[in-house]
Amino acid sequence: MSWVVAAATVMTLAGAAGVLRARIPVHAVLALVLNLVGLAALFIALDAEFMGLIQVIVYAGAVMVLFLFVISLLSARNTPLERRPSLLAGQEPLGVAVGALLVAALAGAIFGQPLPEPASIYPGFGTVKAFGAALFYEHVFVLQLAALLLFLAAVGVVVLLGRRGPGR
Amino acid sequence: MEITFWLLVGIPVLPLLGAAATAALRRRASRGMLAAIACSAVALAFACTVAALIRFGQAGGEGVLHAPLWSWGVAGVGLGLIGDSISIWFSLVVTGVGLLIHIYAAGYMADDPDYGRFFAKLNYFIFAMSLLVLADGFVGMLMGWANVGLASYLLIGFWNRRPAAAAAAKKAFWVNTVGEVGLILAMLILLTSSGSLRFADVLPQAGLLPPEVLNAAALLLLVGAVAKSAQLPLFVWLPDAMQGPTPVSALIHAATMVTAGVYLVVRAFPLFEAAPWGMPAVALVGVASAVFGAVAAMGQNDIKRILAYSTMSQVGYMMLAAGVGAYAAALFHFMTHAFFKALLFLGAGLVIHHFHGEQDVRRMGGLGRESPFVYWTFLIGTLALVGAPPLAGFFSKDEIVVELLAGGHTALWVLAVAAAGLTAFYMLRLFCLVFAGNPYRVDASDRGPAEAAAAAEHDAHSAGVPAVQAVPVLLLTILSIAGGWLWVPGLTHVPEAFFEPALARYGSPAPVHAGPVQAKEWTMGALLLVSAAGAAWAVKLFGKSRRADATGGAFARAAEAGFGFDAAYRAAFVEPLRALAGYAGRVMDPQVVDGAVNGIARLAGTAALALGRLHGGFVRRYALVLVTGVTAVLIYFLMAV
Amino acid sequence: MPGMPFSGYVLLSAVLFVAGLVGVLVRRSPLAALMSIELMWGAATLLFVAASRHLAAMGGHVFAFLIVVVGAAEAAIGLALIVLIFRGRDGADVDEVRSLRG
Repeated sequence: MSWVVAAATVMTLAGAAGVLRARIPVHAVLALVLNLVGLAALFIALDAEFMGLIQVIVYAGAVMVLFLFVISLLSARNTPLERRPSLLAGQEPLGVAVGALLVAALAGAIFGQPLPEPASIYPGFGTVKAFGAALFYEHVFVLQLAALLLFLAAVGVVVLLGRRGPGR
Repeated sequence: MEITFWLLVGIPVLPLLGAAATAALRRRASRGMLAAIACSAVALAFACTVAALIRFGQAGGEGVLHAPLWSWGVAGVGLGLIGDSISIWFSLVVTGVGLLIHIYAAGYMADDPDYGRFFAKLNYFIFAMSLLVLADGFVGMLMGWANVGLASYLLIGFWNRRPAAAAAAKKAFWVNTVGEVGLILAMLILLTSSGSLRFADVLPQAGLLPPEVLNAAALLLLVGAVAKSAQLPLFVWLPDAMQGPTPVSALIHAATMVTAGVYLVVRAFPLFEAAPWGMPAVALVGVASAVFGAVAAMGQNDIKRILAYSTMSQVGYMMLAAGVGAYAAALFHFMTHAFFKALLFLGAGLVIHHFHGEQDVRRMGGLGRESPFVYWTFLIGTLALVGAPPLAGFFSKDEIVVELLAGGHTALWVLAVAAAGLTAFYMLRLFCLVFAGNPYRVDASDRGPAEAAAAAEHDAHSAGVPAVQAVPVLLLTILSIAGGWLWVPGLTHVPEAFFEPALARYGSPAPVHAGPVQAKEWTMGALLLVSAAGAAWAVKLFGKSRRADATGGAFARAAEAGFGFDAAYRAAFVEPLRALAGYAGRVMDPQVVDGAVNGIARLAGTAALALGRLHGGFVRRYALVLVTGVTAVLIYFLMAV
Repeated sequence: MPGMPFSGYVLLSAVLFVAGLVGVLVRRSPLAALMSIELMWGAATLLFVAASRHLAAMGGHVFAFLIVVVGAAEAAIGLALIVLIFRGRDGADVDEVRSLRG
């Protein structure tokens, strides 16, 4: 295992742990950024250069900025929620226990059966050119649907937030 | 076809309509109107029966009138009416004798406040009984059977303010229920083994069934027959059933209902013949009941109980005949017995009215001089029952006993002849005590003045019998005389010819003639001799001197108690059941049943609360449950692989 | 040059996914829940990319790209919903939204 991949793996796991444990939302966002950047490094290690770039630009950039905007919009005045008593008794230990069980089961599933043999990649795999060919030659219809989905999401956000609440 | 259908349907349905009408109008219509409705309903049913008989005769006596009504999905389970010689014969007697008894009852019950209720029930009984005999399968027959049991219950308990009548009604119903259970079990066996419950399907292939199935079916059917026909050992309800009004006793417990068992055996005779134990069991029950009933009748002192045990004995004769394959003789005796036993009961009703409610024969006497009409009609009935030539009972009983000897059943023959002697004894004893000697008078000092005055007033007008009662009695007298002439040996043989096609349809029961050639002569001589001896003995004992309990104290007491059968049944069934019921009421119901019910309610409440906590609306809890389920499924599949 | 075996990537993806799932289960703040969902998206993307590399097929990249697109749309809608629900309220707790209760 190369040291780059090891570092990126540690980054993703640390980022995930930070998201779970952070009490302050901005800290959680920063932890998520750490996670996403680690993921981008893994993508590049996996010969998916374009995906790594997209991950950094779209997620760590745009989406996280959106999160920060919302946080600053909503929770400036908040006391951390976890200081207040929970209505759901035992939710946290149960959730962690079930999660551990699920990880164990998934690990059992992963190592319990043989994985397909690795195929040798051709030159130019994962480059923007190859990606563009796959996207625009083979999966162009899916691309159209994705564009439609994004459009609908934008319209949906406008509809949701543009409507006046009942109290106003 | 069309007219035949309506004729057959009319026989049971018209009395049912009559019952509904009298029940609906019982408070509004006058007594005459109610009696007219009830009697005309039965009269129309009788007319339908006669018309059906004519149609049947036009068809050459070979065909079978059939009126399918409907069927219930399952093949072979349905309701229809059949008009072959057996069912037409039965319904002739049911509606004919039923009509006469209806007319008689119009006078007999004239003082009863519940006139309409009585006729509604009486009509309902005619409906049930004709359904029983006309049904084309076991299903319809069971419907009639159960309805007859209900009608019997209602009529025995007609005077429902009397505890004794209510108890007798319940007893009759319970014992009949035992029989019904046997009948239903037999039907289930037949349905599962032969796939049908229609007579036309089941009976012809009876011989193909395995013997143990046949044995079970035949014996269970016999349980039903025994219970309904008051044969040994399920006879205990019949003497108590005399708590009902006398016309009821005449109609149900002498002429028609108690012969339902005979009908069942004759109708299902291929089953009984094919079953290895069938015929011997029937014959055994028959002869035991014939002898037992006669012995028991000797010791009774209540006029109606004497006649009830006599009925048991005579039905025993019919069963005996059916049990040796002499079906025509059994059916013939059924008819003549219906005539003279109805006559005797109606006469007994006149006697009881004459003695204003007294039913103990030891407190009667001298009626012969006071009421010649009752005397002569009752005498004819007595002699017909005893079997004096040329009255009806002579020919029919003779036919049965001849068949016994001709079939080689010597032991049965001896018992049957002996029972005939006992019959003569108890009937003549009854007759002498009621009609001979001096009128029994209670000492004037025993009576209150009002009672004495009432008695005197009653005596003044009781000599005459109202026409509405006299006419049926007279007609029954004529039938008791002439009814036997249908089958005079060597001259006429109407029943034999009439039933021959119906019996032959399922494989003719060819009579086996293993006995002596002169069976006829020997039987006739023996019967006459023994009966005359029994009669003479009774006349000698009771004719002049009034020795009230001449039959012996211990015997009389035993007979009064039903020879221990009642006590035995009480100890074996009634008391344990009562104890069980008490236990159930004290312990089972409050603790187990209520506990279970309340426990279920509490369980539901607790479960609802517990489940409701899951449905708190917390999305995270829902998600947790969902993830837990997914994990469980994943683990399950990992384990399975 | 993948750097570590394919099964390692798959396991890493599973761990990240379950981490996101546990985050959804245990965090009461809707923002934290949404970020946990982003973790799950990332885990799925990683699995697709790794499988694409393993099998030398570009289709996996296309799927990963679509996941990013859908994830972005989901984040936009989710944030809009959060803003809508809790606008004007002092604080936000997933457990206070209980109109699913029967």
